[in-house]
Amino acid sequence: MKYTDYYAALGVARDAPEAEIKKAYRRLARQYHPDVSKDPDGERKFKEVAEAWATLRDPEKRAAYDQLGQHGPGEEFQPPPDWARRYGAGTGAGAGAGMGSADGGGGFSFEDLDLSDLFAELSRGRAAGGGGHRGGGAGPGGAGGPRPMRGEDYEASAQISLEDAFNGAVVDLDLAIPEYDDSGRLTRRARPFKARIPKGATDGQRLRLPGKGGRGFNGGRDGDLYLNIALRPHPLFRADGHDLYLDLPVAPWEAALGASVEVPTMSGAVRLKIPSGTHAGKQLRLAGRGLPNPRGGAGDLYAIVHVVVPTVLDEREKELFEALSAASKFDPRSHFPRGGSAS
Amino acid sequence: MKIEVTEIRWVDQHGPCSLHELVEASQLSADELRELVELGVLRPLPAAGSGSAGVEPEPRFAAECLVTVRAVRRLREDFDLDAHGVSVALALMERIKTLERQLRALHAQLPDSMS
Repeated sequence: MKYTDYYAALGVARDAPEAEIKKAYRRLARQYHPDVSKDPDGERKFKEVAEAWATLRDPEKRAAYDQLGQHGPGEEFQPPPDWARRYGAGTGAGAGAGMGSADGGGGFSFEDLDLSDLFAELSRGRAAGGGGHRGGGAGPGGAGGPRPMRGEDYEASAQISLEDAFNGAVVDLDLAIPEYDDSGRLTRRARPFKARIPKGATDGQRLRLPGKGGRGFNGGRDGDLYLNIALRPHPLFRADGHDLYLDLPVAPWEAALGASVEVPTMSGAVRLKIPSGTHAGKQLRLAGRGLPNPRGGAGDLYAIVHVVVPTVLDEREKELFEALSAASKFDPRSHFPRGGSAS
Repeated sequence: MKIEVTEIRWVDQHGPCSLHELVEASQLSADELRELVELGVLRPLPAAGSGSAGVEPEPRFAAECLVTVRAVRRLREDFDLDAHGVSVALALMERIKTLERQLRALHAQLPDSMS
C-alpha cells in the first residue's frame, strides 16, 4: 500500500491541534471544492484534502494513522502487525471475511487498496452499517444485519468533441471504484466499460448511467454514475446550448451587393444567401443546423458576418476603391456630432 | 476482458422521483429533505390529482432534483453547513451558473478573435 501524508496534504504539523487542522481543511476546501472552485485541478486537490480531513478530524482514526509511522509520499509500506486488531479494521466487512482477518490473522494483503479505502473501512467497522463519510455504509455485512444496501453513486467527467455531441459517441470510461469482492474483501478494481452518449449532449450537461456506481449489497441496487459532459473547443463552431455560432468572413462588396456563399455546417456545407447591405455583426440564421435536441428538433446555426478588408491591394483594386471613395456619398459616421465635440 | 456498452440516459428521462428516491441518491434523511422543501431549495411538482379525502398525496420531484440533493449532501458534509447555509450557497451557485450561461452565450456570439 502506498503512503499518503495527510498532514502535508493539509499543510499542518504532525502535532497540530484539532482546531488548526479544521481551519486548514476549511481554507483548502474553500479554495479547491469543485462546487465553488474554478481551479481546473481543484477536484483532484480537494479529494486529497478531504481524504486527509476525513481521517485526521476523528481522534481514533488520527491515532490509527499516526501508528502507521511516517513514510515518504507514495512509498510502499505495511502497517504494524497488530494494527488491524487494535483499531478494528475489518469488522465492517462482517463475519470474519473482512480485510483484518482476510488471511487468518497473520499479515495483511493490501494490494489494490489505498489508504483512503482502509480508513473508510475502519469507519464502516465502527459505524456498523450506519454510514461513514461520503457514501459509506456500503459494506456487505456489519452489525445491521443483512438489510439491502444501495451502492454508492459516483461522478465522473468526459470530454467530447462537437462532432461526438452532434452524432452521439461511444466513450471509454475506466473507473477504479472501491468495492467488495465475493469474499467480502474491499478492493479497488478497474472497471473499464464503454458508454454510449446519446446525440445532442451539451456543454455542462449531466448524464446518468444507471447501475454503474458502486455495487449494492444484500439485494440493494447498484449505485449510479453521473457523467459531467464538457465539450472540447471546435476550430470553427462555438456552442451555446444546442445553438452553434460560426464566424463568417465576407468581402466588402459581398456585404454591400449581396452574395451566395458556401458555409460549413456540422452535416456538410450549405449555400447561404447574404442579403445586400448586410452589416458586420449581423447574425444569419440557418434553422435546425445546430446540435440535435433530444427533446425534438435541433438548435440553429448562426453565421456572424465579419466584413474583412484585403490588407494588400494590387493596382487595379486600389484604383477601384479610390473611384468608389470619390463617387460614394455614404457616411458611416453620420450620427457623430459635427465639430468633433460630444458635449 | 469483456467490455460492455452502457446506454446513458439524460437525467430528466428518469421521470419524477419520490422522496424515498431522493433519500437514496443523497443519503440525506427524509426530515432533512423536508426541511429543504420548506426552505424552497426543493420544489415538489404540482400534484397530478387530488388524493383521497384528507390524505396528502406523496410529493413528487423533477429528476433534476437528484443533482440538487447530491450537491446539498456535498455542501453539508464538506463545508459543515446547516440547511439554511446550504440553501444560501445553492442560491448563489445558481446565480453564478445563470451568469456563466449568459457569459457563454455572449462569448459564442463574439468574433473568435475577441472572445
